[in-house]
This record gives sequence, structure tokens and C-alpha cells, in this order.
Amino acid sequence: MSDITSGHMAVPTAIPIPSVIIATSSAAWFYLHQGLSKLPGGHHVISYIEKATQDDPYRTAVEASLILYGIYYYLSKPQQKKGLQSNRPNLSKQEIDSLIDEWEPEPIVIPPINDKETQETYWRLSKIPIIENHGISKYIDFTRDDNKESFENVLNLASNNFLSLSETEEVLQVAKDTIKNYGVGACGPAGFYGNQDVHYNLEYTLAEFFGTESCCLYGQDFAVSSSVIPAFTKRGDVIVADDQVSLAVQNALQLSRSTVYYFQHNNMESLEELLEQLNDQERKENLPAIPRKFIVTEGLFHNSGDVAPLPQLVELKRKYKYRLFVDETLSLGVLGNTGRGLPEQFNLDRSTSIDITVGSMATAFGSSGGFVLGDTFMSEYQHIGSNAYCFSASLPAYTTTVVDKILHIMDNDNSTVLNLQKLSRTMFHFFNSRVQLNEYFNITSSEFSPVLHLELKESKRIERFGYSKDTLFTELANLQKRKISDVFIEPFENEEIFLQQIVDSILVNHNILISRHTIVLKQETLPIVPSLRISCTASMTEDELLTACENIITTINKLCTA
Amino acid sequence: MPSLINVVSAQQHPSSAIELNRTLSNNSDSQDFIIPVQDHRRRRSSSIISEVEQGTQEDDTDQRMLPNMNATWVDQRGARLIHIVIISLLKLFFNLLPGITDDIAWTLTNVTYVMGSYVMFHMIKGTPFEFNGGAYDNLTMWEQIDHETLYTPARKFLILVPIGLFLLVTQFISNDLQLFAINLFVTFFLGVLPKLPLLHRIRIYVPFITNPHQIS
Repeated sequence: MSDITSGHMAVPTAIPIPSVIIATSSAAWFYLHQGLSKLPGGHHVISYIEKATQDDPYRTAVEASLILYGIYYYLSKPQQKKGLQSNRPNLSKQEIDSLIDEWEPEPIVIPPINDKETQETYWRLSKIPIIENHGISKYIDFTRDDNKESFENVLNLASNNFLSLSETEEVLQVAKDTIKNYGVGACGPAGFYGNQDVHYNLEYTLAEFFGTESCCLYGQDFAVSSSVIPAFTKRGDVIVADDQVSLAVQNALQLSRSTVYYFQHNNMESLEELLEQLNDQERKENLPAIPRKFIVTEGLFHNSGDVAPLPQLVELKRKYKYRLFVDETLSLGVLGNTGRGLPEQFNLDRSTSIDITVGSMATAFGSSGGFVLGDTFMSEYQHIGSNAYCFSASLPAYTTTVVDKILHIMDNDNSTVLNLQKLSRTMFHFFNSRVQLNEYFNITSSEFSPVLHLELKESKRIERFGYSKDTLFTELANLQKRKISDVFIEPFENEEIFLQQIVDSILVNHNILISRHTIVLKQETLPIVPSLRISCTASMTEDELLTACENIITTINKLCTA
Repeated sequence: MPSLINVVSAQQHPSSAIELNRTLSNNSDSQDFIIPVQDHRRRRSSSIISEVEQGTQEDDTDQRMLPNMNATWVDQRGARLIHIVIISLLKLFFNLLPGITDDIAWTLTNVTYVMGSYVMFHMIKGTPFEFNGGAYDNLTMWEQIDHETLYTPARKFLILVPIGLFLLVTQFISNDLQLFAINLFVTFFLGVLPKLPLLHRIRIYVPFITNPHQIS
């Protein structure tokens, strides 16, 4: 188009162009040419356009449209994606400020006032025993309900310090010595100068004691599962979990973002059926990427006190190529001849049977914190990928040296563990042999568990409180689906109050402290029912325990028949 | 440990990941089943054009948990200059090859740049970092830029580069319709079309070219 008047001359004859277009574009080019030649530097633009067209109007059209779209895109205003963000109200800074000023936070816990309804909701607060001036030992003094009730020299059957080794003089001496050298705090997360030599020493000791490659220490036991599982899973991964796992593991499963399937509690047929189905489904879907797959269970169940059948789990995990995660919070130090936990109980090797073990130092070892046992790669990955390891402070030094000492004692002498197991068995059989008690209560825990769970029989529950495990869970699931966080289910509440009456009566009449199993209903996502919880520790003598158990049974029978 | 507790409590809110549905089975033993809500993105689409579903509130939370390092560099200084540098180096490289005319060198530069950016911005999905619980797994890098805000300066620059390069290239290739067609095809279908706001979160299945994808 070197000559504006002869633009149509170069048009290929094969594709005719309407004369109207030629006329208008010629006119447009004429005025553009005139306008540009008046502007400074306009002749460069004119020469570019003349060269770019290559005497081909189609090319010109294509290039012009690309340029026009580029200009349109450049001039458009930023626009939020459709969906969540664009649904958010578009508020100005003043509006946001005034909304923040107007907002008044609700108290986290509304203190009970003398209103009947509030008392009904907050009765649990007044039932919490508070120990002052001394640690948790076999006999304790405590107060309840803001010092309104006080009890002295009560036999403690509510303790998780099963081995009671942390009460011995040699262990206390270790704690004192460490405090002198290291002080009482670690002052930061492991990655930020929080870990001292004692922390790494304990990691080695724990790994050696439990027979794994490596170990990773955490500041708090409840947070361990919910930090470890999400570190290794993401959306699309598959988790198959027992449907009675504790709240800590439930939280972990929610945070894992994986698809979670539940098998019936300790039912290996149910598990195998589920794994078979999942593998079939996976074969059918033929996804480009194979998801990570985990079986999640507990060693000694927090909610029921029974033991997971490890040999079958290991067999299934190998057959279906899953990884096995076991929360051994309650079973380490308790199961097995030397207290090495679930694998020892079944004569298995921990490093080959369980892929990830979560343990607690706040239960049988009587200290504080938690840990994860497994292979080296897994432990190392937690140092960068696990939230609780990266962001929460390390343990105080003395809590770690104490565990170190206790492991040393256990390694040399397993009499405490054996004693605890003997007491557990005695307690279990004592309760199990009582016909009258067994009419009302099921003992859900196993004979190896130092914690005995007494769960009201389903028929008695329906008869007395008018609900069952199923209806409770249906109702709870409905409430959660409607996103109601203030969960109050009256029959459940009545059963809890009834169980608390048993606890109170035993406490007042016999000076023995047992406890309800703590359930925070609004957090639960699984079918869990209330139970009574009686735990023995290795520091008790058999006579002491049996007398206490006799008293407990008498009181329960009296209250149940009343 | 404040951070963890925040995360946990945020998730404990009933709008939780695994929303549990429960049905009593038809069997007489009334065993309870807890039906998991499948990850809604774990299915494969058989349609030619499909849309990636909008994320839930939870996806949004996970996406904002940490800065998405896979996409934030686009906004950084130097990220724009590197496009110009790469294009210049490509041109230099193709010119050094024996037996290649200037026309072909320009075309090759354009094709290489546009294909490279297509692979980077529109083909590979997800992030190389696993900090978001897989919340970005189904999004291309182009979609991840600026938290999916459209028409941001970074996006404007990235769409203007292939257009500008194309205009530059057509300047240098003389009256050769074939080279022009190749350049146009590549720029339009790989450089401009996938970046259009209309095709945001849209997946198009091209037989023999795209893998059967896990759509979301």
C-alpha cells in the first residue's frame, strides 16, 4: 500500500473484498496518514505501517486486531476472579475501620451465673479438680468449684502417669540438676535455637529404645498427630482410619485435606473390604498420579481402651501397599514386656511394621511433649514440613532429661512395666467378674489397658436417657452440617451428668478420684459415647487398688439401681 | 504455639474438610457408615471443554496460608526484563546456527519463546512446593498469578509480550505467507488464547496432544 489511492491493486484476485471496505479503510488510512504526518516522529509510524502491511490487507487486519485487543487488555481494570473473592463485600477503608471499632468480642467462656440454664450448660467447669502446691501423685489434695469444695488425701485413679517413674527420687534429682544447668525454658522453636543438646540426645535415645532409625521431638503431644499427618498428605490422598480414633487424630484427618474413609473399629474384615474397594476404584479411575495412602489407627485407643490388632494391620498394609500410621500416645511404656509398645506386644519389629508412630511423653513417661518415630527421611522432612515442629517452642530441657532417665531405668529393669500390667489385668478381671455391674456397663477396654472404660450398655442408655450411639451421631452430624457450633444435646448431657454423679459420689463417700472420659462434643466428628474412666498406676499396691475398685463398684451399683 | 492452634481451631469449625454424612445401612445389623465426601476434584473429565470448579472457602484458606512462591516472582523486579533478555538470547542463538536465514531465525525465536511460555504458564499445573495442602494442584501458573485476579499489571505485560514479539517478527519476515502463518498460529493459539480471561479455569482437551487430565 505504498500508494494510498491504489490500495486495491495489490489485493489477491482469489479473495474479493467488498468495495465498501476498501473505500472506508482507504479513507481511514488517508486521515491517519494526514494526522500522523503532523505529529513529531509520525513518519516513523507511517513507515512501520507501510512496511508491516506487506501490501496484504488480511495481514494488516490480523495485526490490527491483535494490537487493538492488546490495547483493550491494557486498559482494562483489575478484576477479581468469579467465586469466593468477588462475593466479598467491597468495603472502603473507613467502613472497615468502623466495623472493627463496632465489633465487641464475646468472652471465650461465659462464666456461670446463678441462672438455671447457665448452670446446666457450665456444670463441667465446677467439676474440674484443681491441684495446688504439689504434683500429681498417688494421693492428692485438690479443690473444685473455686475453692468451694476441697478434698484431702484422695486416691488418684484418674492419672495418666501410668508408670509413675517420674515421681521417684533419682528422676527428680535429674530434673533438679538440669534446671540448674539449663534453666526452665527453651525460648524458641527447634529451628530457632530452641533445641539444645539434651533434645537431640533424647531423640537418639528414643529412636534407639524403640528400635527405629530416627525420632523427632515435639513440644506438645496433642499437636503431634495434627501436625505430622498434614505434613505428608494433601488433597487427593487417601486415608483409611479407624472410626473410634481420638480427637487429636480426628483433627489431623481434617487438616490432612485427604479423602478419609473409616473402617469399623478394630474390624479387619471391614478394613480389608474397604481397601479392596478402594484399590478397585483406583484401577477403574486410572488417575495420572497415584495418591499417597495411609492406614490410621491407635495403639491403645483413647476413646475405648482397646488394642489395635497390629499383625493383621501390617499384613493388610503390605498386601494393599498402604503406609501404617499408629498413634501410640497411651500404649508406649504400657504394652510389651519392656514397655516398647504395640509391636513388642505382638512380637513384631517396629521399624518394619509401623511407618509412622506418634508417641507422648506426657502419659506413661510422666513428663511433657510428644515425639514421632520412623525412618530418617521422614524425621528429617518434619524439620521443614511439620507445622508444630517449625513453629512451636521446644520443650524445657528438664522434661527431656527426665524422659532420658526414665528410658534408662526401663531399659535396665522392666519390673515397673510388669507391675503395671499385672495391676491392669487385676483391675480388668475384677470389674469383668462382677455380674451386677456388667448388667449396666460394658467394659470396652482390653485387659492390657491401665485405663478401664466403663460404657453404659446400649439398652440401658436407650431405657434411661432415650438415645443411642446412632441417634447421637446422626444428630451431631446434622448440627455440624448446619454449621451450628453451639452443640447441646440434652440426652447426652443427662448421661454425662449421671456419670458425674457417680464420680462425685465415689469421691465424697470413699475419697477416690475417678473421671468421666472427656468428650468435647462439638469437636467430635465420630460416633463416640460417654464413659467412666478408671486408671491405675504402677505406684499402687494390689490391695489398695482392689479395695478402691470394690468401693467403686458398690457405689455404681447403688446409683444404677436407685 | 499460636500458629498451629489457630490452624487447628479454624479447621475444627464445623465447616470442616471432611463433612461427614451418615446413613444407616439397609442391612438389619444397622452398622454405621461414615461416607467420606470425595475430593470433588478427583475425577477425570471426558468432555472436550471443562471448567475447573471454584475452590471452597477451605481451598482459599489453604492458598493464603503461605505466599505462593510459584507465582509471586512474576510481580518482582527483573521478572519482566528476563523476557526481553531471553528473546534477545534466542535470536542471537538462532542467528549463530549455520544455514539459517534471518526470516527463519525470527520465526524460530518467536516459536521457541511462545512454546516455552506455554509450557511454563499453561501446561504445568500445581506448585513445586508442598505448603498449601495441594490447594493449587489443579491451577496452572497463569491462573495462580496474583490470586487469580484478572487484568493485573503482570498479566498485562505477559499478554503484551507475545503480541509485541509477533508484530516485531512480521516486520522482519518479508513477504512469506508460510512463515507468517506459522507465527500467527503459534502466537494466537499458544501465546494469546490461553491467556484470555474467557478461558480462565477452562481446560480444553486436544486429542494426542494433551494428556487425559485429572480435572478438577
